[in-house]
Amino acid sequence: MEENTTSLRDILNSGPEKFKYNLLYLGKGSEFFSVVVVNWLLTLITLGLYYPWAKARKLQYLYSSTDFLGSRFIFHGTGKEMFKGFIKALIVLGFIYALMFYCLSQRMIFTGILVLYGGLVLIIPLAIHGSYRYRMSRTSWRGIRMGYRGTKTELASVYFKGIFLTIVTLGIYGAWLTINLRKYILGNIRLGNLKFKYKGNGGDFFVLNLKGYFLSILTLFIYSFWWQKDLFNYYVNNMEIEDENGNNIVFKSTATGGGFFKLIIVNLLMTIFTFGLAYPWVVTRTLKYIFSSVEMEGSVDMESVVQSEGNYTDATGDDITDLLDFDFVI
Amino acid sequence: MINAKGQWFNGKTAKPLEVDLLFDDKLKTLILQHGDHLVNWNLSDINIQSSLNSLHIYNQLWPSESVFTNDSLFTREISRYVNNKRDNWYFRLLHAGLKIHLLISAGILIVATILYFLFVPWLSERAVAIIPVEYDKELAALAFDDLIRNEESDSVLTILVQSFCNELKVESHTNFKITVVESDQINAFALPDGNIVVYSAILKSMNDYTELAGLLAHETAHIKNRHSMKMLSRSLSVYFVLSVILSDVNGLMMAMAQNADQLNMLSYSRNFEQEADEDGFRIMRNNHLNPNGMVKLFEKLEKENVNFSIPEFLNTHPLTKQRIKSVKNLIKNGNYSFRENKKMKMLFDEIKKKLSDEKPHKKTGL
Repeated sequence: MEENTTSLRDILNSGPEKFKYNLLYLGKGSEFFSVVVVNWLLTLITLGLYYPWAKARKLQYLYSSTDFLGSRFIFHGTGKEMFKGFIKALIVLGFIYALMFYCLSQRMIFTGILVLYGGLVLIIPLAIHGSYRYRMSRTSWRGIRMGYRGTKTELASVYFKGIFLTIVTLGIYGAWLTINLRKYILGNIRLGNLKFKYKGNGGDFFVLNLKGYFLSILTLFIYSFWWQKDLFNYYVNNMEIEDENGNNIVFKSTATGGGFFKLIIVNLLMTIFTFGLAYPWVVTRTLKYIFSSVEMEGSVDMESVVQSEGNYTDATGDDITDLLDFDFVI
Repeated sequence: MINAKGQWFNGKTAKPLEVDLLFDDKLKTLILQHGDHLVNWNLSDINIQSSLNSLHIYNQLWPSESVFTNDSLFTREISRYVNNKRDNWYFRLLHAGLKIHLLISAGILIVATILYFLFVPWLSERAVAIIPVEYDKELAALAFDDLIRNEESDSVLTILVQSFCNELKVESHTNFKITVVESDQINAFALPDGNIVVYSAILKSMNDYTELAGLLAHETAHIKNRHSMKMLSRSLSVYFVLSVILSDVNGLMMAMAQNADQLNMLSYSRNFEQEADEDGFRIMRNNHLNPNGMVKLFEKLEKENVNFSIPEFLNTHPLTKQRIKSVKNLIKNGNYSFRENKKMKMLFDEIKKKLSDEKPHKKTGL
């Protein structure tokens, strides 16, 4: 807790126009282990039905262990909400798979494969939309809710245009697709009256990946840790938060390739030698490293942030992305 | 009744407001006083997070007001009250202590292992019994076109080997349909719908009709025992069980578990090969054919694979030497009699004749 009070004092002493912001992960591996073990146990006993509740417990712990300027984040989602989303997601995916198997049984192999991949491609933007809408609406900090203001149609147009051009350019446009999606999604995230913004562009991202790819191959994948660092830095360094009066917060990453090397190798060894039981400690180390690698400063006075979001409760997207094994942040 | 000073986040702005906190466990309320503004929080609506000397109290109702205090006495009292109230099964389980949790996780590992080694095989056997045989056929029809699309089949040899196969009496749920394919590879495989594909090179390598009978006995045994469907069913069962056990775990563990399963799958398929050998031996015996044909066939396979030195645990088939030994053991211990099958011998001679007529420029086998 000492760190928090220092960070509060930092803000008070840093003058009227310049602020430093501190994001910390204060969770403990042993505490998270308890949460995870109970989740494992209950999920196993209920043959997987407990999953949405387990996820809610996990997110509640992770959010409440994340400290920004001395105040914790809160995850307000509940197992019940996510269970409804889980069932809807199962029905949607079940329908797609049933249709595929029907086509296969009719010897329409090509149509079957088209139904599966086409179906998945179609629901991905819906899933991303639902996922962000729900997750953001259930997140708060100092009583201020986060929110996602994107619309399905706009997201779908960015997504399908990108998918089309990616296919036409044999994958090259993929870098632009990723960045455009990121721009759209982050650009629609709010914390009260604060807006998030992403400034990256597809060209830089493409070059970064090209370099990472070839150097990784040339160095027998040793460079891949530095590639990982570049990807992380490109994400963080291009992020910005602003309010309606032109004040902003800029992000800067201090992560290093060596840091990622140590993080990933140790995580791997810990996981392998404990048959996965070290998972909670792996998550803890990772979050501590990532949060401590992000520096923020700017002119937004966090005390001036005001509530702006309404109440929202649909959890469908959140579970589709889970069933498809997406990462939450794109 | 106790009171303290704290900061209140009122759900309208992120600015901390100075409040006087008043806690009364008889009234079950927390009273917040900011200037002359009074707010009552019902204790059933709150959630807390306490560390050594500081306390966050969250109101769970919309939007999400919260209170922060570092008054140690107040922190202790509220924590005690809320923790007593939270005397439910989840809370008790969560705070059962590291020892209990380690025991639980060890238990989960053991249960997972038992599920994997006992439940999965049981489940997949059950599933195969339930899945109708028609489904095997659907599956095989899909694979068959794909597998021999680029191969040239030989219609005369196909008819001859088919007639040979018809002489072999095998009890099975399906009829066997032979296709002979023009190829230099010494190979043959069986599909679950009764389709057996025989490559011409393996026919060329044979000297005696009992060898061909041995090969067909082995392949028909695969079909008869529905080995393909058992493999598929097992893969699905493993996937099902793994995803239930590991649903809360990251991709890394899932990938590890699946790779470990791949290794085990190889030994599983080796067991099927052995089963097909043993069953093939029984088919030979029931047809009164000389089971040494199988041994001769394997010896040829071994000769072919002289440089084939993959250790047994990485190989889908048991090492040929091992197979020869097993069949020889069966022959030694088995109670059987054999006599010459004239019809088969005649068909085999015709097959050989056809092979040598067809490709005079190529040397015929071994």
